[in-house]
Amino acid sequence: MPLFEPFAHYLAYLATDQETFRGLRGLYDGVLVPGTIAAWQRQGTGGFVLSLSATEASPPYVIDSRFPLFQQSLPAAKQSHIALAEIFEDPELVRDTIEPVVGDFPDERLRQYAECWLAFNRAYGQSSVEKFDKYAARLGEEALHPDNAQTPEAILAPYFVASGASDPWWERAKLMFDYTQAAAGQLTCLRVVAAQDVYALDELLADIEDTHVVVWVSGLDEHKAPVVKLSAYRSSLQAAQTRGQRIFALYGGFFSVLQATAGLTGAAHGVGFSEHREWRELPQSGAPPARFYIRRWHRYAPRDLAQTLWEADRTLCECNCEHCGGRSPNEMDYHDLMKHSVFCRQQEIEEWRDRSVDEATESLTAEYETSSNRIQGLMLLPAVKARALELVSHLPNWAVALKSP
Amino acid sequence: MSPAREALIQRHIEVLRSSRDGEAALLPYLIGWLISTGRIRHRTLVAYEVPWLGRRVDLALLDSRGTTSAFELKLGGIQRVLEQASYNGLSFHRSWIVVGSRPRQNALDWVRRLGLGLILVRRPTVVLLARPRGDQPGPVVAKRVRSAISARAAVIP
Repeated sequence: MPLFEPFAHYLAYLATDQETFRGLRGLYDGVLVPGTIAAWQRQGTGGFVLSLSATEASPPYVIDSRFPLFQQSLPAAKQSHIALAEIFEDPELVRDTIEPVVGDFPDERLRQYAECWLAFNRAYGQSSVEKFDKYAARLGEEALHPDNAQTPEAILAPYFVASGASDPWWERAKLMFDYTQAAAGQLTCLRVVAAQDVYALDELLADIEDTHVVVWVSGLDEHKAPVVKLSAYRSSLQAAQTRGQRIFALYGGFFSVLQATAGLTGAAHGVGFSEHREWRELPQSGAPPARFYIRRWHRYAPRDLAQTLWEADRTLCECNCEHCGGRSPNEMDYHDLMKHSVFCRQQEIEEWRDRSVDEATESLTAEYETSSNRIQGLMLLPAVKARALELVSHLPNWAVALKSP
Repeated sequence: MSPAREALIQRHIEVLRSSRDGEAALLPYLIGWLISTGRIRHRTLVAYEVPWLGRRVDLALLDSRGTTSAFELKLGGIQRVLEQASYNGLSFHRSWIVVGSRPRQNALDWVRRLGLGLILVRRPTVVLLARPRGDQPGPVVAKRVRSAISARAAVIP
């Protein structure tokens, strides 16, 4: 299964990223389609994802149910939330004020959700092809036929977020998985273990006997997380590896790539952002502005700041990939910024996946020392210098966490 | 001042009549000064709260020769707008800071070092403290800035 072939690089789909998906075929291994988008932009998303899956490269795809949306009240529910609830044939899943409790999800409802989700996945290849030809033409492959469209690589069962093995939500999550698996028959069905925080992950993974698992640690921001959290994440992955479990992460940045040495087989990320996600929906005012991926620090930076650094010391963030062509961050348009970021991640995977822990640690530490010294020596406004130093502050944390336990 | 400039000031002041709160209170005096000194002419596009790289530039001008200017306004301390203005200087031909009180020497040093313009508005007086260094952003960036100003120019705060 491609999800578990190290190191699997999946991209989370968003309609605005179609150009990146098209232009970079071969630089990612698969597509993660958020259930909200699959449900709300059903024909557009289906047409695009399915036409992509019908190409010779045919990247596999899976659909994430995003079910924890319904584990909370949604006072500002979006159309996509409502559309997703309709997939589960239960509009009451969307509650505007009252916080759902475990008792709201009795066995029969879980069985219904499992069956609805399975039916949606099974039918996805046939029921979402109205716009197939339009997207096939955009791929420049008009000879594609909807019959060649693939079904999802596996069924990602709906799930709840849990704080530990004794959390009643975990028992519900396990039951919903059992129902999904029973309904799936011969189809591959994967469990998504969603941990409320990093400390719950090991306990949850140890409580199941699955050999292949998809994980999501809510809000694990690899750049801001303290060493203790990063270490806990790595320890959980190592323990899973010892138990013979193969793990794919729903969200992850470069630190996740480094976890190949702890047994992580792959990770997905959004194009341009979304390397982590909180399970509780936060009020948002549209997509974040496009940022520039600074490869040597393995992270995005606001374009203003990246441009400032580029002008002060070009070696810090210069890139000569085909998408940058040596241009400054401000000169690049949105799609080039996105393509550059995906290209960089794939390059990072190829360059780092076979490095030992010692080699990776050494590289990260050396990069931190070089870059922080250079930044300190630049004539920058104090506030700008502080921001620039913040951009490298995760590197020593990553190095220490890699060495744990 | 020529009658034409006076009429232009009147037109802008009418638009800005409701700008009484916070930094916006500086705008009528600033606009009057920009017109009286010839920095805003009849064909100059004037745009407020211009979206740029995920931020908003308080005031931006695009003159008939394609020169772009950004203005960040601040009543109090200027550390934050120094940063914003330094970023604006990467994309606009001229980057200005407009303040309601005289900055400290340290801030003035940074204004000069970064090549920013500095205007002090002590209502109703407006004083030019520093002229901006003229920058030459790349053609692609300059074109995008012009588009952003043009798209916003009709919007009144």
